[in-house]
Amino acid sequence: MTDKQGQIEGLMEAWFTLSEEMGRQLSQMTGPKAKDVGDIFGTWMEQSSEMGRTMFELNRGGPGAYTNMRKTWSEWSDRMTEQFSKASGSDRSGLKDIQDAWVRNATRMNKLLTEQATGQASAQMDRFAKAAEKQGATFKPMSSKDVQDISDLTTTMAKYWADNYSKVVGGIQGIIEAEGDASGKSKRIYEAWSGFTSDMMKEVMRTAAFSKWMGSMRDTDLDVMLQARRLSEETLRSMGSPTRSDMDEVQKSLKEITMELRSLKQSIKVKGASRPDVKGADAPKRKAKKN
Amino acid sequence: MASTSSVGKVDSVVGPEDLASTSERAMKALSIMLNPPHVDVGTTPSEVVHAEDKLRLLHYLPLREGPAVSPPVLVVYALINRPYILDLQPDRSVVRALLAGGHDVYLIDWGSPSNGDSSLTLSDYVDGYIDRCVGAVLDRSGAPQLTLFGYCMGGTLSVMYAALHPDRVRNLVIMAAPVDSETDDGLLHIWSRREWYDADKIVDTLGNVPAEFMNLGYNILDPLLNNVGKLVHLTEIVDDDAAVLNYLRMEKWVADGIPMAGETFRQFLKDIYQENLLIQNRMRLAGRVVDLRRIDMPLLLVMGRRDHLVPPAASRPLLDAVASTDKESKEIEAGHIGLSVGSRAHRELWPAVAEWISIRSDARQPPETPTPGRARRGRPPRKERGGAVGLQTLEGLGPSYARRLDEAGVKDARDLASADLDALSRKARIPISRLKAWTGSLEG
Repeated sequence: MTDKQGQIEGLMEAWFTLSEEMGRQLSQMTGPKAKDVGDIFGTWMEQSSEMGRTMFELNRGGPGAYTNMRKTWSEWSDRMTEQFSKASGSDRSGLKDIQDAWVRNATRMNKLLTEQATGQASAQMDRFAKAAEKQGATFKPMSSKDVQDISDLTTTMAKYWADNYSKVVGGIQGIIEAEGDASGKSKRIYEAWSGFTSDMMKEVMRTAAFSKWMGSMRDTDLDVMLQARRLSEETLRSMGSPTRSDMDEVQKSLKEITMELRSLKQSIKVKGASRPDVKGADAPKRKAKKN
Repeated sequence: MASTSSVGKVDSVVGPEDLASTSERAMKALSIMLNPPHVDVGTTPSEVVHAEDKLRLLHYLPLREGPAVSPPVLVVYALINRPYILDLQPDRSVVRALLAGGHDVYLIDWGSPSNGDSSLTLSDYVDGYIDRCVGAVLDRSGAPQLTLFGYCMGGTLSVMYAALHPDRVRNLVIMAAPVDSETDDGLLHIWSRREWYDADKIVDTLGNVPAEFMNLGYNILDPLLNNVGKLVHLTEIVDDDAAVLNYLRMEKWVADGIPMAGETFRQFLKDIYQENLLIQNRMRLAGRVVDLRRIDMPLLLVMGRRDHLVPPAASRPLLDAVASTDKESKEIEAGHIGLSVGSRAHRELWPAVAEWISIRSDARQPPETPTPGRARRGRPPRKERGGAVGLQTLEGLGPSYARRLDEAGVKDARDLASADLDALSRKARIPISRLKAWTGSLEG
């Protein structure tokens, strides 16, 4: 098993553990008081276990396991539909019980989810970061220079604000206190404010600190996108499905063939244009050579 | 007391009626933004005369009776957004302005590249697509050369093309095109420096560069105007139906972006914006140096003084870099987009541009029967063009045709006059119509 498969299995295991625990808790909450609800969650839990196992197989087994997973999914879906149908159709009071239980338990479920998810999310982020690092990504903590750049940025903004604030506020105050019709004042105030803010932004955006900060943000986004794509490609590859890289390669080949074909057509066209000459004096000579 | 004072101040700024009216207009503006009515764009009638891959070459139908000015004008649009900004609405259409000037107008609509196009390079565009479109226009019109008109990035591509194929370009019109990045006038030039702009990482991650990615950069060039100001503006004009439709047409265009082929983006960013190779005559396309000194045809540079995407400082150096003796620039108080759709531009600039091209073209004549050989106004014949003695002054005889004639044994005017034109056409690969025009010119 490769490291990547291990990572994927780790993620699946985490998800599965969380699902199973949720199912167990929910089943306990509802259990005897609302049988239908218990049935539903029981079914869900049972089928989740099956789904989890199938997903493990899928990760290892390729297309055959994919068929199994679809079968399991279909069974799960059918049984859940059946249980819901029974609960809502057979007994109105039973339905009320389900609704009460749902509202009551939703609060507890949210709490449980929050507790579980916080730990899980943190663990999953750790795993993701480790996986990404193994693939060469650099999620570096902020260096003292980065901190300095951001500090420069805020300093520039603060300085501009300090230098211009009183002038702008004074201008706006003057507009407010001016005698006469109020009509048009709001627009003049907006223009004074937007002009000031816009100029301040432009001043800040011209600094090297801003460009660095923006570049850093963009690079981080691209790193995350790249790693997410690599992980999804690994998953798709393990399922025997074509990946984006595969498709890109095929498209690139098609493009090259198309361009080659165009070039050949052009050559033929050019040769065709000069062919009448060949039919004249040159043609017999060529034939003679062949013979 | 504080409350009364505060209310009093509000009243002195915005009267109750003003407030009610503003509120009503804001609601109306919001309603328009949520359910924008359909708007037509690019309505000038045209036909597709050439197509390959995603590209379509449009030929605009004339607006008036009678023959068009020769040579035809080929408009090369940018690889960003859609070209209908040049034909946004009838009264603000660069295309119509050229047609109104009597020109025969073609335009390249690049279409939207797919993932399969991500490996396309600048060379594929310049030496491939543009060259084939030029060929299609020349074949169709019978003209030996054309007026090349490039806008924004399309202008930069046009400059490259004119440097590589000067014999096919009669006049060059370049509008708001970046050719020199040695300036701090525009934020894009600052932000795209290699110290903090990793073009490789962008292309390696994204493949084709999505329109949304590029639009984000344009949006934050002036975040307040682009995200607040234009909504405030809509509130102000909301009772004017015509103005609202104009506004919505522009909004439609802004949101109608297309991705850029990844390799083209990489090369453009690195060679033009980061290394600034073009203006130094160090740029290479498919191994060939793009030497701006080979541009010797009449050149018109069109710039907007308030262009924050491509400031004049990024375009103006082209004037000094080319060998053209007939060259000039026109600047107006407009931004990058205002050059295309601004009322001032359509009042002052475009009629003058159409006239500039006309002066450097032939008299109006049917495209099918051009009359080469006529002395070009504003452009003295170049002796170095024709290798064949006595043929230099023939209209449309560039180095390429001169070489072909020479290789076919036509050394001077007498050889041409006595040649079997059908055979010569096949041998030299020159259209028979052109040869006939040349011999007619010699006889005249």
